Amino acid sequence: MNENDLIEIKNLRVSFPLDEGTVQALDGIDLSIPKGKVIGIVGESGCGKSITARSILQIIPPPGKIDQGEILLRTKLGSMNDDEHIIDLAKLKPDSDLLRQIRWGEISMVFQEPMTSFSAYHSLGDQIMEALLMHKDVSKEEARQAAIEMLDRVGIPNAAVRLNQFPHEFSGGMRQRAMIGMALICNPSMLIADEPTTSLDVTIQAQMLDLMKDLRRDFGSSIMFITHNLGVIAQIADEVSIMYLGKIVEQGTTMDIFHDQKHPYTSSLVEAIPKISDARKKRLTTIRGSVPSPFERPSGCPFHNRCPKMMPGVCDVKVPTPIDFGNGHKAACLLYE
Amino acid sequence: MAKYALRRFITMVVMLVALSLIVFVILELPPGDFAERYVHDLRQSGAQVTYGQVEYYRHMLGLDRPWPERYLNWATNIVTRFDFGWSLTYRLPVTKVIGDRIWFTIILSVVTIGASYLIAIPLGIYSAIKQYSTGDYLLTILGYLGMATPAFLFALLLLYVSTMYFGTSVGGLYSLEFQNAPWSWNKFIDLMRHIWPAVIVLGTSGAASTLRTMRATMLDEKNQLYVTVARAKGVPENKLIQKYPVRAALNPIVSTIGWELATIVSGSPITATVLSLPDIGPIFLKSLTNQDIYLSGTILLIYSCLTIVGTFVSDILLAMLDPRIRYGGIE
Ligand SMILES: Nc1ncnc2c1ncn2[C@@H]1O[C@H](COP(=O)(O)OP(=O)(O)O)[C@@H](O)[C@H]1O
Ligand SMILES: [Mg+2]
Repeated sequence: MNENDLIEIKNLRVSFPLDEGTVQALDGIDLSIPKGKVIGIVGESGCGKSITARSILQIIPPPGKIDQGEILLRTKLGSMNDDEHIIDLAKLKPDSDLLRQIRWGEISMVFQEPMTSFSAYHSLGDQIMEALLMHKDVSKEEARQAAIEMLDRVGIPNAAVRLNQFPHEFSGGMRQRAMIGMALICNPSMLIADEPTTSLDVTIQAQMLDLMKDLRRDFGSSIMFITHNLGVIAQIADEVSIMYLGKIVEQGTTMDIFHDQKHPYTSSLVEAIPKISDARKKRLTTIRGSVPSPFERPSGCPFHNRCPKMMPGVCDVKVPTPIDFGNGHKAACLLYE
Repeated sequence: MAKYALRRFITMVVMLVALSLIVFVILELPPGDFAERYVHDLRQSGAQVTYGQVEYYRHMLGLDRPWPERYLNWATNIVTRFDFGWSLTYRLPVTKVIGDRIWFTIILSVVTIGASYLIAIPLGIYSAIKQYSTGDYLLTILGYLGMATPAFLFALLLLYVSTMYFGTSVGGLYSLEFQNAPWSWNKFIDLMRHIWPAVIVLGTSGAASTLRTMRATMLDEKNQLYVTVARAKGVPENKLIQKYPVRAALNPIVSTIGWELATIVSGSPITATVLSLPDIGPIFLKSLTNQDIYLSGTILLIYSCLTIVGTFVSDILLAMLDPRIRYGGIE
C-alpha cells in the first residue's frame, strides 16, 4: 500500500444471490484513495458506484455480500501504540467494535436521497449529536454546541433553533446540507459523497458543489465523490475512475480523463456532456444502447455491444486487462493490447 | 403538544355528548316500551291486567314524557350525580346493577390489551429482524392460527382441555373467599390469577394481528435509508433497531388502540358467557330484550366511551411518537 494512500481496494467482488440468479455487482475493483484528494467515481446508473461505496462501510443491502477482495484502510484506530496501521475492512465483522469506530469516526457518507436519510421521528439535532456522542468523548452540551457550529458552517441559518426541528421542516437542499454537516462532525479522514446533488434542483446542486469545494479546503478529508454526471466531476475531482458494469474501465487524473481518454466508453461519456458552444449546432450525443441486464453480462469486454470501436472476434471474446499509460493513467481496453 | 391534547380532548367530549344522544335515540326506535312489555309479561304469567294499566305504568315510570326531556334528565343526572337512571327490570339504580361487573369488564379489557401488546410487539420485532428463520416461520404459523380462530371456539377448547386433563374448570373468577368481598388489593391479585384464561381467549386474535402488523412494518422500516445511515454512523445494532425502525413501526399499532379496545370489549360478552365470567355482556343482552332503556343505554354508552377514550389515548400516544403530528405538519 502506497504511503500516501488512505484506502486501497484490491480486486473487490460483490454479488447479490437473488432468486432470479446471481448479480455480479462488482467484478474486481481496484481503487486507491490518496490522503486529502478528491476521487471522482463516474458511471451510468447501476454500474456499481454505490455498492463500491457501501462495501467500504460494510453496509451493502442484503442479500449482497463481499465474495473476494481487500479494502485496506490506514488508521490509528484499533492500534496498540497509537501508530498508524493497516486494517482490512472486508475482514471485519459487521458488528465488531472496531468497525463501528471506523464508521463515521474515520469514514462517513452522504447519500443520494436527503429526504429519507434522516429519521422523521427524531430531531435533526438528536441525529447529528448522536454521531458525535458515539465517537468522541464529549458532553451533551459540547455535542450540541458542535452541532450548532456545524450547521452554521454548512449554511443553515438560525442553527441553534433549527437544531431542535424535525426533518419534515427542512427542504431537500437543507437536509442535504445537514447531512453533510453530520458527515463531517467527527472529522473523518474520508467522506464518501454518493451522488449528493442528484436529487436536488439544479440551482441547489450548484450551491452544494460550492459548499463541498469549501469544505474540502477547510477539512482536508479525502473525498470519494460519486456521480453519473461527468460535468460535475470536472469542478471538484483530482482523479477520476470510470466504472462500467461493476468494473473500473479507466482511471487517471481529471486532466487525463477529459483531454486524453483512452477508453471508448470514457470518450462517449465526455462527448455526452452538453457544451454551451455547440448547443445550437447539433443534438446531444448519447451513448448507443443501454446498460445490459445485470443477469446477462456480455462476454469478453463488458462494453463491446455498445462500443463504436468494437473489434469482432476480439472484444466479444477476450476480457481486457488494465493497461498503464504512465502516471497512474490506466484503461482496460483491447484496442491497446 | 398541550394545545393538541386539549383540542383532541374537547373533540372527545363533544363526541361523547353526541354519542349519548345517538344511543338514546336508537333505544327509542323500536316500537313499544317497557310498560307494554311489563304488562305483557304480567298477562303471560296469568295476572289480570287491563291494557289501561299500561298507561298507568307509563306515567308512573315517566315514560310518557317527550324523549328530549327524558334524555336531558338522564344526561343531567349522569353528569351532576353520576346517576345513570333506574333499571326497570331489576328495580335498582343502574349503577347498582352494573356495579362490579363494569369494573371487571374494564379491567379485563385493559389487561387483555396490555398483555397482547406486551407479547406481540417484541415477537413481531423478533420475527422481522430474523426474517425467514425457524422462529419467524413458527410465529407466522401461530399468528395465522391465532387470527383465524374465533374467540368462543378458543374458550370452549380451553374449557374442554382444562376440565378433561387438569380436572379444574377455568371458568369463574374469584377464589371463594373473595367472591363477595369488597374491592381490595388482594382481591385484585386474586382476580389476576383467575383472569388469564379470559385474557388468552380475548387477546389471542388481537395479539396475532398486532404481531403480523408489527412484523410487516418492521420489515418495511428496517431497510429504510435512515436505518442504514444510523448503522453507517456506528450505532450498535440493538440500540439502532430500538431507536429507529421500532419507533416508526409502532405508529400503526398505536393508532389502532381504540379500535382494538372496541374489538375486545365487544368480543367479551360471548367469551364471558362461555367462561361464566361476571362480565357485563349477559346483562346487556337481557336489558336489550326487555327494553330496559336506561340500563341498556348506560351499557351501550360505556362500551362506546371505551372506544372513544381508547381513540383519544391512541391519538395522544401517536402525537408523542410522531413529531409531524405533534407540530401540525400533517393535519
Ligand atoms: N438491493 C439490491 N438488490 C439486488 N441487487 C442490487 C441491489 N443493490 C444493487 N444491486 C445490483 O448492483 C448493481 C450496482 O448497483 P449500484 O451500486 O447501486 O449502482 P449505481 O452505480 O447506480 O450506484 C445494480 O446493477 C444492481 O443489479
Ligand atoms: Mg447509486
